[in-house]
Amino acid sequence: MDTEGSFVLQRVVDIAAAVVRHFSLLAVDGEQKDTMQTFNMESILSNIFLVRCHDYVELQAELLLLPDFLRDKPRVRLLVIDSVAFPFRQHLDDLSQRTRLLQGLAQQVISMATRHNIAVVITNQMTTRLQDSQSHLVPALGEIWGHASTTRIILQWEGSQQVAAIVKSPCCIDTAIQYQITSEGFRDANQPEITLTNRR
Amino acid sequence: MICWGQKQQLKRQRIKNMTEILQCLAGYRPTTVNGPAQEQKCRIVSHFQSANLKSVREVLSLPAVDVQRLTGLAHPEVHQLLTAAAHACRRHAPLSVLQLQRGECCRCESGLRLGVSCPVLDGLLRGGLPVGGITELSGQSGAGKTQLALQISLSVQYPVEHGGLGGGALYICTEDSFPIRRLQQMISEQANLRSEVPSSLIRGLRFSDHVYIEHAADLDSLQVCLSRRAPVLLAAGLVRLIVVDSVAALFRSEFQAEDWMERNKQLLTFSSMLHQLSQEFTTPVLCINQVTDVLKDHDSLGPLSSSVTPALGLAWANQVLVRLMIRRLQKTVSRGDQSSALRQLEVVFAPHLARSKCEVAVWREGVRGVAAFE
Repeated sequence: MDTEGSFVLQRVVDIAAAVVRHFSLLAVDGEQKDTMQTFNMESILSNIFLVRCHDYVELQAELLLLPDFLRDKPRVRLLVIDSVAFPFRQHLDDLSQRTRLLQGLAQQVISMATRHNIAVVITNQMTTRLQDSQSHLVPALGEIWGHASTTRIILQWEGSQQVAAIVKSPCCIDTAIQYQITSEGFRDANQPEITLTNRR
Repeated sequence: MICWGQKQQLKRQRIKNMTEILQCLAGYRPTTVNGPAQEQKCRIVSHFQSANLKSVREVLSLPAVDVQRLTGLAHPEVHQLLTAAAHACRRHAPLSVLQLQRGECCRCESGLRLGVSCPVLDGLLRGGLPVGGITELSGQSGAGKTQLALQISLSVQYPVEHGGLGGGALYICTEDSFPIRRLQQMISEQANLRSEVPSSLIRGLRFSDHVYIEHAADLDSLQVCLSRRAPVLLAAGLVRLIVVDSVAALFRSEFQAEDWMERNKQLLTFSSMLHQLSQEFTTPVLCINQVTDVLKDHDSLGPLSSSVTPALGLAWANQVLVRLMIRRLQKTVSRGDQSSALRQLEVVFAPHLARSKCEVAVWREGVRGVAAFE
């Protein structure tokens, strides 16, 4: 579910091609090579579905219709909402309405994830918060939205390095690693894992 | 190209009122748990009427618990009502990427780009400006932002097979007066800049007739321009590019430092208007922005290649799809009787582009990329 218009065909095709190449190189035995016969660009692209939501009303509508979609296509096992922040930061002056809508959205998504056994990835924007006359970068949509996710990963720049940090997880300790984005997608940076230092 | 009248009709269909919601409900299978079908439908209808909810959008804007409270209906019935409303609101069902690639939906992500009349720059941008979303071009004064914006206001007028979109440009000036003489000079040199296009085609394009210049010295007049004049030009197919030169001018002058919350609110209203226009009319939006000095301990939005950063902060950055920066370099380059200061055009972020740069020069005929590196 794309709310920002940042789902670009060229990029999806790039990454899909990289994935096919990657797995072709990894396929060693007969069974894996057979799987690669059907794991190609066409099959990948026909199994990624896009719906464009222009505001929070359309997002609500699509979430209401999602159970039917999942029933029609039982092979769909991942829901991505990119981003949840964009539609909820516009045209919504009533903060309490926004909070309640977000809570409703979180409940809907969690119940769908459980009932249809799918993974859910939601992206969020960062915003500045003033605290003690200093500004910090924090996830948007407030504290209440912070409770919605089971796991939270923050992607940030530290100087010239890109760092991914787990800040909330039921099973992993808080760690941070460096990464880079190449033409093929997310890859490890050429540095070893760093330990979490002084986060927030 | 859909005409204005047809667009109005489509708009009316989208604004669903209560009558149409009730019609939607009539088309729905009732749950078998609660009694005879017709009786149940009447109940839903009367409860709905008593709740005073007038449109589909209103129904979907409320959390489900609120709808339940207002209508007094049971949970499964509320769900039925909301699902009917959702179907009415939806523009089209989810499409697979394969279908998008095959062009099965022209309104959606189709990969269409607006070329900028230079093969080097088009290469940097992998085709040009995306047609749905805001491209931002920022840089210091004199870097060449307006030059490039003028050039794109001409390139949009070429037909699609030559990288354009077959429409004109709406150029909104917020600070200086429009550089009309420079535009006329660039128009006269189009055959030179676009030597690959048949000169008969170039002669047939009446460039100056299709650059619509608006001045907006404050937020109110900008609002009027975007909400009244722009939709008319876009709906008639006269315009396929919106340029705002510059965004920073309006938002920096009208607000004091303490008013940053109010400023952000106005910024969001302005950018959401641009997004709506861009989406509804598949029209690229180019926003020119100024730069500010980077503060010490500034929360980094990325590795800095210069000491300046685009103005208006994170709130604005979150609204931008493609961010480009242009800055003057110390070098110059010569060609025949002309010489130009070299600039560097950099892709700061974009969903489909690597962080990359190329050198550009500004000539009589326009902006040309000189060499691509990195």
